[in-house]
Amino acid sequence: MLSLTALLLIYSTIIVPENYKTIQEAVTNASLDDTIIVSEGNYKENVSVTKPVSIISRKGPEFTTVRAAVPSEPVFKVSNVNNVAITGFTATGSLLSGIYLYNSNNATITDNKTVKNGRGIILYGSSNNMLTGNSADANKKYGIYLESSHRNSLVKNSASSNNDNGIFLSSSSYNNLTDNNVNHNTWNGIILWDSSNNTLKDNRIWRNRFGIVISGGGNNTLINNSTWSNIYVIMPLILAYIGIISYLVQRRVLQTIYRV
Amino acid sequence: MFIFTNLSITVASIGIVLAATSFISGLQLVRSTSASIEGMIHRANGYLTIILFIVLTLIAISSSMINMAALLLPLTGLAVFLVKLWIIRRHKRLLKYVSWMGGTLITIWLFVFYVNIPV
Repeated sequence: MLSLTALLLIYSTIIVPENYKTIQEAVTNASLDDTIIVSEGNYKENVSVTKPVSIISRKGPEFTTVRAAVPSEPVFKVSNVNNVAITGFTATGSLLSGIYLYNSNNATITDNKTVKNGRGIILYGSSNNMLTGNSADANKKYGIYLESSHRNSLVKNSASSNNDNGIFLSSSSYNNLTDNNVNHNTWNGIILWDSSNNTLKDNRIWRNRFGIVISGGGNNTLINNSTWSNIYVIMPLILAYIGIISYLVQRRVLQTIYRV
Repeated sequence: MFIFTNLSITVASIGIVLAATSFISGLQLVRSTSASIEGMIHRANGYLTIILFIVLTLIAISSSMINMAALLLPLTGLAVFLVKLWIIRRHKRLLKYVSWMGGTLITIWLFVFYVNIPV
């Protein structure tokens, strides 16, 4: 909240829908480095961002949904621009992608839910971006897809229950994937395709067809990633054993009560 | 660590404990001399598992992303349970099959546990 207040003081602020009815109108009329605050509600539009602005929802993704008006286009498309921030939206309904960074660098994508799109988040030819706390779940293909994108950080995101791969890195290098939940995807959890020098650390990659797949590329570093928690294998046996003990205890208690 | 991080896995775990208790007491009920005590344990734990099946069904329905397995398994368990009750109350000649149904219920609980592992 403090950082938001600081932003408001430094740059001019546009409020949607008070100043402009749609997010796209606000972006079109914004100056460089402006902040666009979006009030809660449902917005049906495709937002194209071609200048460095921060688009922030006032109440977070649970209350602020942007649905693609044109399903063949991304909900948010950031093209050929640096230093964009998108924070706190639910982006849904696109056959292509919830958030699409095209040739864009140094963007900050935080706390968004990109669900039920073709792909959750796409980075194409985009570098040095920060993706934190996003949910890219239940998409038709990939949760998060990087192609020819380098030195990006993916931290504490969720890419689960997607109909293909959770996180897909294609020809992308020096990316850092840390503390992400990549679970229950139909195909691979994380796939590194022709990608080198990436670091995967502390990710949970459970119940996918394959956990981590590395095809081509090299020199990738995998540290402390878990593909299954062993406790769930033996837990039912422990519980059944507790059930037998529970039976013996109940029997003894009832025998004592009824003096049988 | 991440064992009981959601309600479904907690309910499923309790269900396995109760189902195992009920199953063992059911087996003992057939040969026990103190049939009334075995019967009490069997019925009490068994009826509690019905409630848990219903709770799990409601959780699956209320979930924003409905998992068909998480929905169908407790419903299947309820169906097996009702058939078992129907046999016990109305068709005593089919009693020899109820221990198999009890085993089926244990197996269903194992699947219920598996599908509800938090992800």
